[in-house]
Amino acid sequence: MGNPNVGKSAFFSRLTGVGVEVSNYPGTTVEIIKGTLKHVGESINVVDLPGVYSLSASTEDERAAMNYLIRERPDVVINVIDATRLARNLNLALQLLEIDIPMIVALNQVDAAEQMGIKINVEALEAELGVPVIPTIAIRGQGIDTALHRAIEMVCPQPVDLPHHGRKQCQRCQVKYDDHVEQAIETIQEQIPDISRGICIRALEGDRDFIEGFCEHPEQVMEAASIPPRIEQNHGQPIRDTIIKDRYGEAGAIEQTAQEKRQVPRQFIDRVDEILTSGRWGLPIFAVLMLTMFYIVFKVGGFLETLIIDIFEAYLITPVSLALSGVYPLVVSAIIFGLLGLEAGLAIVIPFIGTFYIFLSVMEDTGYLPRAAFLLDRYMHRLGLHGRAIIPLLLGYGCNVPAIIAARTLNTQRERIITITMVALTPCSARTVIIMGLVGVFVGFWAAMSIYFIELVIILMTGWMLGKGLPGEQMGFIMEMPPMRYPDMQVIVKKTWFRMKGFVYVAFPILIVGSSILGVVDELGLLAVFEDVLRPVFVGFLGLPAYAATAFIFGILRKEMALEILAVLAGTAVFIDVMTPLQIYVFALVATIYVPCAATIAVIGKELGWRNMVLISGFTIVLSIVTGGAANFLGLALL
Amino acid sequence: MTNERIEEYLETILYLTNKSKGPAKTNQIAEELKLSPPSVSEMIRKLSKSGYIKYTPYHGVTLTSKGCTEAMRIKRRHQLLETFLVDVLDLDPKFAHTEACEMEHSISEITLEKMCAYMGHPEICPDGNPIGQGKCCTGETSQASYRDYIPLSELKEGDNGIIKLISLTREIKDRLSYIGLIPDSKVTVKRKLGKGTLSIITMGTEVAVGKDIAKNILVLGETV
Repeated sequence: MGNPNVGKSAFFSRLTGVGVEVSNYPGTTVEIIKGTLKHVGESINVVDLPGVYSLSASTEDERAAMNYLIRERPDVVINVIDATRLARNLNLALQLLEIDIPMIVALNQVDAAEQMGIKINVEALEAELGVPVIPTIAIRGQGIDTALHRAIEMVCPQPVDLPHHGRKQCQRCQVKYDDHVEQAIETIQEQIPDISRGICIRALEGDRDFIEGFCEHPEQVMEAASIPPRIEQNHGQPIRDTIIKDRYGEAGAIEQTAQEKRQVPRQFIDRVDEILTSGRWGLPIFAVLMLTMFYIVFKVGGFLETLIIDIFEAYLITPVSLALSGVYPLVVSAIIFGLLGLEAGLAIVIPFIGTFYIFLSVMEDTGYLPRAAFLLDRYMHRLGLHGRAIIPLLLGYGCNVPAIIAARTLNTQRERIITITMVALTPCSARTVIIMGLVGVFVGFWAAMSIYFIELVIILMTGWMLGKGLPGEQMGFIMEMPPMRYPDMQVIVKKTWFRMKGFVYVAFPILIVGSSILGVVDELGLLAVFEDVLRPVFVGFLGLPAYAATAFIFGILRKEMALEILAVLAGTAVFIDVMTPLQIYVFALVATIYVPCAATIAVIGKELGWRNMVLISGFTIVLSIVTGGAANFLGLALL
Repeated sequence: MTNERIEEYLETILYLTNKSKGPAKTNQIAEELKLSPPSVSEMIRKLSKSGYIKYTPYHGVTLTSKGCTEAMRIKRRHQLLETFLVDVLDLDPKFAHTEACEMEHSISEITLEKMCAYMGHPEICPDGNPIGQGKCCTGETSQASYRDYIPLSELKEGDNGIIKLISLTREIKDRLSYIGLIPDSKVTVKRKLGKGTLSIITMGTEVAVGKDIAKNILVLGETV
């Protein structure tokens, strides 16, 4: 465990080989991720905890981390510390040292620290803290093995053939607090024998969750700890503040002992960083970046899409349907529909989603996302939100599911509800597939952009209305800004692949099987019955072909399937042959707004409860039909 | 004469002059304070000598501008305390009123300002009367002891400062302290967008904070 954005996930990933996402902003890991590794025949469970700044939790993800620590009582904690921000990181380390959990310190990003002119004397730090300190560069895998060995050494009293055998056990570092605090600790210890110093301090800080998890008689402990208001009088500040201040003081002192810092000349990237968030250039650059991103996704995606479709039609669909002529029609339908599904999947998903994720990964890896949050904070306040919510919203353009989970880093329930509702309306990459692959290719780039624009307006209006309507407390914008860094190609490729995998492994089987079943159902004439029921809405109000209704149903499973199934039903992926531009436009508009996909619905239910889930889903259905209908009638009137 | 008594008198005179839109009579004051008229006359002489009030025989007592300022300050204390007792601690309004009468004389400016900020600078007292604005409400700092402190939001890009007072809710304060923003820590403003969001460097870490938070963090500026 460790502070947010210190490289815990990279460390974990190197240690276990489990693929986890690594990003350059605080709060990437919001769930507890488990992995195992084999070491000398023993299997060891390793857990990656969400980042915490202190043992007192205040957001959902921090609580998850603390609960794990309290309930599961790990054998040994590897505290990952960012060498570039030693003092701040030491605060948590000192807290961990106080509670009696075996631990070692992994001093990470020593390379980055070096570049910043920071040199840390590992032995001095080790002597100060009284626990092993191992310098690491997690992202390249350096020092991971040593850290593992030392961690095992901590757990097993008889270390086997390890080079560090025989090292003398140092006293774990204890912060010496203000006399009054020390007195208070003694008072508690007099009342409750056998209570450890660490527990006393947690109790004095008022950390009830922790005490309840660690003590047999929590009430008694909290009671004993409630005496010290005397101290508050002497200091004119709450005892917690005194404790925190003393601890930071200690952290600062340790930093001074163990760290040497020299001035380094300003780097080019600092200059870039400055321009990206400057009052004059920040926003225009943000807008241009977004527009360029969509344009490139459109160009590259469109090019790849045509290429894949051509290859498929020429070498697979045509030969297969020729070969199958004369076979029982039900079988033919099943096979051809299945193939069309695969074609649509490959041709539509990979080019657009892949390209999009490369961009998103670059923005994440460089640390641009927190800068965007900084830039837009002021505007988010109008929605009753603040800059922090930008990260889930931008992630939402990739995929709604992780974006909704990322909303856990927000502090209040109110902020979460607003942000999650807005995320659910955000055109994710699957919806980008529909917008770009359908409207972009067959109607035009600017028509596609107008859909993004309409949806942006809808998102903002929804946010604004919720911001006005929802009561509740508001917590301002506080976020750590990680240093800007150059993107690492390897990380980006890995990350893009990691995200694509979800689509390929999960979506493709559903797509192929679903399409085949659809072929059979169609052959049996059942589709026509269903489409007739929904005909008034789809044909009458939205002006779409009747089979669009079926496509929408599949779109609930996965958004891009609406388009793929449309291709299957239309019998071609060249939509302009079977639909008018207006129909294409309305289809894309409705398809991207009406209910989020099944996975998103499920995750909303998990995060906000089923009631909010039903409300959000119902809201989006109504919204999509109204917007689609409006676009249809407006289009008919104008064209 | 003790401060408490002066304060009690000034408050009563303010109340009476506001009510009758004219000078307050000695016997009215005596009635309000449940004291005998001779002892009230004695006190009025003393207050008049200290320049808090103006006494015209047979006409009554009015507050001087000095006395008025003082009385308004006490009234605000009383109202803020009453608001705190009722709104935050959920006490019975009547009980809160009596309690506030006692507390108003001993509470320090620092505590009061923190209390005011904690409640988000309330504008209406539970008894329905408007609460006067204090220095903390308008974003200025109290003259009493924080003369040199300015809100973090007033610092410019590149300015240095030392955090002195954070008047925000417990939750936000905790959050700030865990990320490294605690009183007496040194900060440097790294970036600032117009008059809004800014980012500061503290303990080697860059932290972005919104304007609404920054304006409630008082710093001792090294420039300006």
